[in-house]
Formats: sequence, structure tokens, C-alpha cells
Amino acid sequence: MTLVEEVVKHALKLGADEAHAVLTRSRDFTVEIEVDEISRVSFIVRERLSVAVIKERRIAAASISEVSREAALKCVERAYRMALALKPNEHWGGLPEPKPLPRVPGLYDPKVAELTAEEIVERGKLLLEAAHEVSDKVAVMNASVTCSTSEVEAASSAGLHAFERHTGFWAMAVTVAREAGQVGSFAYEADASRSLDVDVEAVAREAARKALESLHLKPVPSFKGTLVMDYDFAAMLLSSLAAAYSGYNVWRGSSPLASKLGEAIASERLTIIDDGTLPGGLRSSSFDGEGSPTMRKVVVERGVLRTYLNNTFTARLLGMEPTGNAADLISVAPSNTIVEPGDMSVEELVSGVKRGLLVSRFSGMIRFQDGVVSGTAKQAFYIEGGEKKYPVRECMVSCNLYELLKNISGLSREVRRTPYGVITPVIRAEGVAFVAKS
Amino acid sequence: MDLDILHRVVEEACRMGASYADVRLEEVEGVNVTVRKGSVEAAAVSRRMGAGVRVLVEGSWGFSSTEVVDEASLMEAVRNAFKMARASSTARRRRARLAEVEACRDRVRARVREDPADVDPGEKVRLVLELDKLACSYGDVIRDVSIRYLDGRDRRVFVNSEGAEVEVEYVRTYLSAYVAAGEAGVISPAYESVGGVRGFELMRGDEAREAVKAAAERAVRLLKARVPKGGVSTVVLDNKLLALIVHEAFGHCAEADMVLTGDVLTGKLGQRVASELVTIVDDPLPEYANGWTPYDDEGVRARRVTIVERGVLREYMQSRETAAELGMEPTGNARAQDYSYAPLVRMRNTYMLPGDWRPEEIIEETREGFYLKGAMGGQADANGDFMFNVQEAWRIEGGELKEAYRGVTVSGNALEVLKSVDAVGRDLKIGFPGMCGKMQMVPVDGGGPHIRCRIIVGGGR
Repeated sequence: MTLVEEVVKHALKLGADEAHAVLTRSRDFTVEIEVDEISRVSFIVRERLSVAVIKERRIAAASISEVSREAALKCVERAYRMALALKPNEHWGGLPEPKPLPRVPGLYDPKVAELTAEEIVERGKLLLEAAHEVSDKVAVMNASVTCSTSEVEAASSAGLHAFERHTGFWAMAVTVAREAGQVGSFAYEADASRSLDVDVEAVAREAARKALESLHLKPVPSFKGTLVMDYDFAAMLLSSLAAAYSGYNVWRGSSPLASKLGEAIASERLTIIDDGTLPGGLRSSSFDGEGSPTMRKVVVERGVLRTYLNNTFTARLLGMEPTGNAADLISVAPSNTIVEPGDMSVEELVSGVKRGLLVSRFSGMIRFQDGVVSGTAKQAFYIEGGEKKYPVRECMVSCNLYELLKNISGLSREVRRTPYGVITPVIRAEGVAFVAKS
Repeated sequence: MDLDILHRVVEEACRMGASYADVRLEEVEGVNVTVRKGSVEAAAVSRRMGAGVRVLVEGSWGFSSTEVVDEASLMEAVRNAFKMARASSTARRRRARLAEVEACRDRVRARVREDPADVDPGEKVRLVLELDKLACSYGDVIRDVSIRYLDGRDRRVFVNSEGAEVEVEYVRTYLSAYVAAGEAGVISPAYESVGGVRGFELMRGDEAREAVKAAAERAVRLLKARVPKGGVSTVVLDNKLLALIVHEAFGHCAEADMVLTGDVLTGKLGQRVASELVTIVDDPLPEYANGWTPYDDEGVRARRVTIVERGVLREYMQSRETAAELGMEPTGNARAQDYSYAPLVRMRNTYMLPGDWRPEEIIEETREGFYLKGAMGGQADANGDFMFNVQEAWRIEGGELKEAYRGVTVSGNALEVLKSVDAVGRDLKIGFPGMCGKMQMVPVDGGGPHIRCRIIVGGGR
């Protein structure tokens, strides 16, 4: 019997009706860069045991680091005592029965697991050099390269026992450009993968290029026009939208997409898939936070809302089926969010714009509850007559998320993965207000 | 744990060839309870322990952390940290140096009236359920409620190879309320939070109740509010929104590691950067504030930093390394999220000092503009540009508050905004707890009085 199974057994022995335990272990190597200098190399070992116990519909959890057998059993006892102090959650319907798990390839790359500290430092050096090669006006404010190896083991009183290993490889860079006393905006670029196919130099070059673009900005007057969302902005928008089709938020009454299943909520150009089984996907795994199998499902099909994301708890409350999206026993999280590509090149998307902005970073709020999109366009270009004219200074973007979805007028053929688990094309939408500093 | 082990750990690092070593041992335990419309959705107890070892070898840093804290594992962490430092030594161009400080030996505990660890979990749950009930009592328009209670104890022991041994024990208690009202297809969310280096007394008095009421009332009130047209406007900022602007848009630019990258405050010491009505400090005190820091995570006794004095830039916030680099003195601003991170230059409690206007007087003396209250996050840049979400806005006309607006954002450049300040209230308030995320999360606080300035007001739809 493994420790997690023993923990579950111990909970039942104490008097719990149900129990669920997850043990994660990870090791990270990170090289950090601060102010154009390799500042630190770290080796971090983490261990975490989380236990949920249920007694007469009272659900309590406890977690510990430093997982010895003795500490683990004490952890269960603390969770059980906490449960006794609660009042029942009348909505609780029981832990899920274990189901066959899918085989998801590409989650563990031994080449990542075998990287040495020296090899990680070497990649940090390459990142730094690549940024400086672009221009001596660019400073790397902050950057890091991390490789991570983790394993997760889960067990429950319903008979679940699952184990999986993951690797991860991340590179990120924050750059700033300076010229003649002028300081540009932060520019950010990152990439992440389960394997070694992250080009750290490309990340650095892209961050440097964006930083340079944010010098010599020109103001634009206020106008209403077309918004072309570059990959990062599109990913941010889609992450906010995912909160609206979370079964948890729908059930809570916080989402305006409640009772919209089968209805058109977006332009028919938009198809969104949530896929926890995507080979090598950053948010892929064979089982979710409650141990249910992950799966691929079309959430928005040619503009029509087809499903919400559910775990067993929310599925039961909404009269639906679980979709393998449990963050834990109660709440829900998206897995990989994939937007189907369109049929235009990025150049074609821009050339069809009378007047608008191409925005690669957005600093502001996208509120799924009421759809308020309000914030500042960063690293943005003014477009007029189908041509990219100049980088824009201090311009606010103002629109409504749900109107924006209906006004999508094009998507690019090229898609990119972003480090937020969103794979998206460039998305173009009409009727957006740009408010300038006048 | 026997603290002699920590001294042996740093001795071992020096024996291996480190010019400096420190070890931070930390024990954290806490409780969180989340209640949503009568159901306890999360109730959890957590306990973590770990240590981080930092070594400086020929000017290169190595860091390693472990969650097994016996002597053997700590010695292994030293060897790993040493290996890390060696791995980067060929890549490093500048040698890291540390400014001299006194090797402090001290033990400090947060003084709270009622230690949350002594309160029965059932009592915590009961009070959170009561607050949830209060939020739900605002009628059928209340769609969603989430009342979250958190408490925690964080014991940090710092030992370094220079003989410092500092132990600080933090106790923190928080309550946050999220309330969403909905009607005719409009959903209006509102959020409030209170807490800091406080005990369970936070939950006993009116403060937690008032926060929940404020969130519920605002969610309901703004259901029918409109979204304003954008543009530059004269605005009166409340204490909370000012706190966020001072921290995010200005404070980060005065962190010495940011200054070293060449941000908007680089090379400007002694120059005018704000209206002469403006004085801004970053303070390890007051003791109740969320960012209370008697000693930082380099064992440096923390002192107040006067960043701006009557509009003139005076000081930056420093770690030992940035202080050595800039030829200045450490200020006790090096902080780490926990043992698994090495410290960075971070703020503590950052606020603007009061002036002599009564807050009502500022509004009365404003012909046209907005009164902006509260904040719900945002972002800022190295050049001082910022964008924040405002919880609530009121139009001011002829010195009176007219209609309310929702979905409002403000943006601008911190230096331009601070230069435009023409009225500063006498109502200093500190106590807006937050978690600041600059690669790592650390508890901070801030505040200030009501002020008047010029800013870009924007709205979504």
C-alpha cells in the first residue's frame, strides 16, 4: 500500500465517510537573470500532501510539506477534526467512481528531467546574449529559465489510484528599452513546453523587439474601430471567457452564460475546444483534480455554446456530465484552451482594417461577470487603410467581451501556444472604442 | 529545531569556500474557510516547513531549498547551493557584493490581542457563515457571495555566516468578501478585504461586518449604474485607490533593483518628481499593517525610507546587494515569499503622508470631475505608466456628488499624476492589505489620505 492509499484508509478508520488524497513531488532548476546579469541559480525541492475528508457531507482539507508517514497521518487527523467543526454542504453528492483514464502522450520528457545546473545556466546565458544582440538599448530586467520534474499520485475511498509524471520547461523575459532619457514600457515574452522545444533565444529576441517598439510612441485621437488581438492578448481574453463557461461559475450565478447552452454567443467564426488530452499540452494530464479522466470537448462550436466545464460536483448540480475539469472536489478549471484557426494570414487581417489597433499586450480588466473590457493597450500599433502605421502611446481599449465575441471578423491561420495553456490564432473584432489621452 | 544546526550549516558553506552564506528556516501554518451562500465550500488547515540556503561563492549566488529540515538534508542543501553558485560563476560578469550591516541577534513576535490559533475552528466557521448570511440579506438580486477567511502564523528564523540570528514570528488574519448582484442581464461584482498583522479580534468587532456590508451595498448600488465616457479628468481619489497608485505605479520604480535597470526614477535623486504637497514613505511600521517587517529576510533591521519628501526624490528601497552596487545603505527591504525563494527588493507599507484639507472640503472645492473609490487590481510599468480598475466612481458637479458609475478604470503616468496633485487630505489611513506579486508574493500594505489630481478615466461597456 502506498502512502496516499494509507492516508485514505486512515481517514475512513477515523470515521470519515469518504476521503481523497493527492501527493505531489517536484524538483526545479532555475536560472534567474536580474538587471542583465545571471543573478542566481536555484535548486528547489517541494513535496505536498493534500487530503480531503468528508463526514456527513462536511468537507474539510489539510495539507503538509515534509511528508513523512507520521506527519501524513496527523494531517488526516487535522482534516477530520476540521470537518467535525463544519456544517454539511447540502450540495455534496459524493466522490466520483474511478473510470478508465486516457493515455496522454508527451507529458514527460526524460531529456528535461536529465538537464544539469550547468546546462540550465548555459541556456540563461544564451537568452541574455540574444536579447543584447538585438540592441544595446535593451536591458533584460528579469528573466528565467526553469526545468521542472514532478510526479502526482492520487487515491480515494471510491477506489481511485492514479499516478503520473510530468516535466516542464519554461523561459520568460521582461525587457525594457531606453534611449536618450526615455524609458519604454515593460515588454514580456515567454514560452513553455513539456519538452525541450522552447527556443530561449527566440523568447529573448521577441522580448527585445517588443521593448524597442515601445520607444518613440505616438498618440492617437479617440476613435471607434477594429481591434486586432495578437496571440498574448487573445490568450488573455480567452482565459477570462473560460471563467464564464466554468460550470462552477454558472451554478453560482456569476456567469452571464447561464441558460445560454445551444445559443449563439459568438461569431460563427469562433470554435473553442477544451482538451485535457492534448499530446504534450501544458495543461494536459490523464486525470483531473478529483481523479476523473480528462477529455476533449467542443465548448463553442461555430459560435454556439455547447457545454460548460464540469467536475462531478458541478455536473450533478447542473444536470450534466463531468468533463474532466476538476480543479479540486468543488471548483473547476480549464485544461488546454484551443481556438480553431481561421483562413487569413496576419497580414490579411491587418490589410482589411480601415482604422484600428493591433495590440500585443493588454494591461487591464476583462471581467467575465459583466463583460467589461477596459484597460491600456501596450505594444500596440495604429492601423489605417490596411497598413501598420506607428506604435501607439497610452491608449485605452474599451468594449464588452460578449459583444466583442459576436463582432469577430477574422482569425489567422497561424496559431501559437502561450504559456497560459491557450493555443490561439490572432483574432480580429470590430466596433471597439479606443480612448486616447487627449 | 535546535538553532545551532543552522549555524553549523552556514559554517559548512564557508568551509567549502563561500564568502557568505545564510539560511532561512520557516514554519507556516494556517486555516482558511470559504463560505458561499450558506455552504462551506472550503475549509482547510495547512502546515509547511522548509529551509532555504543561499551562498555567495566568488561573487556568484547559489540557492537551494528543501522541505526536509533535519541536519543531513540542510547539509545537502548547502552542497546543492554551492554547486549552483559554481555552475553560474563562469557566466557572471559582475561580482555580487553585500553592503556591510550590523549582525543582529533578536527575537520579535507580532503582538495580537487574540491569537487565531487559540480559536476553535467551529467558531471561525460560525462567524464566516454569519457574514455570508449578512451578504445574502441584501435581497434576491444577490446572485453570488464568497466570504473567505484566512489566518496564519509564519515563523522565520534567519542565520548568516556573519553571526546574525534573527527570529520573527508573524500572525496574520484576513477576511475578504466577494458579492455579485444581478438583474436584467447585468451582473455587478464588488469586493472588499480587511486584515493584516492582526489577531482574531478582526472578526470580533465591526470591521469584518462593515467590509461585507460595503461589498454588498456596492454590488447592489452599481447594478443600475452607467459606464462613463473616457477622457482626462480632475479626480478626487480615496485612500485605497491612492494606496494602489502609490504602490504599483510609483513605489516599484523606487525599488533599487528596478532603479538599476534604468527605470523612470533612475538618476533622479534630489530632483522634483511630484507636487510639493507630496511626501511618500515606505515604512516597516505600523505594527498592525500587513507589510510589518521588523527585520527583512537578510536579517537587516528595517527602517523607514522617505522616497519623496515635499515632491523631491530622496531615497530608494534597498537590499544589501543593491546597496553595495549603488554605494548606498541597506534599508531592510529584502523580502522573500518563503524559504523556497531568495529575497528581492520589495515594499512593506507604502503610503503618502497627510496634508491639511478635510476630505469633504476637497470634493466641495471641485467644480467638475469624478470621485473615485476603491480598487480591484491593475498593472504598472517601468516608465510609471499604470492602469487600475476602480470599484466605484461618482461624478462631481459644483462640489456635489451626482450619479455613480461602474466598470471604471484609471490610467496615466505616476509622475505626471503626482505632479498634478493640488490638494492632500488630512485623513491618513493605512490598512489596505494586499499581496504584491513581483515574481514572488509578499504581504504589503499601504495608504494615504484623500487627494485631488488629474488622471485619465476610462470605462468598458
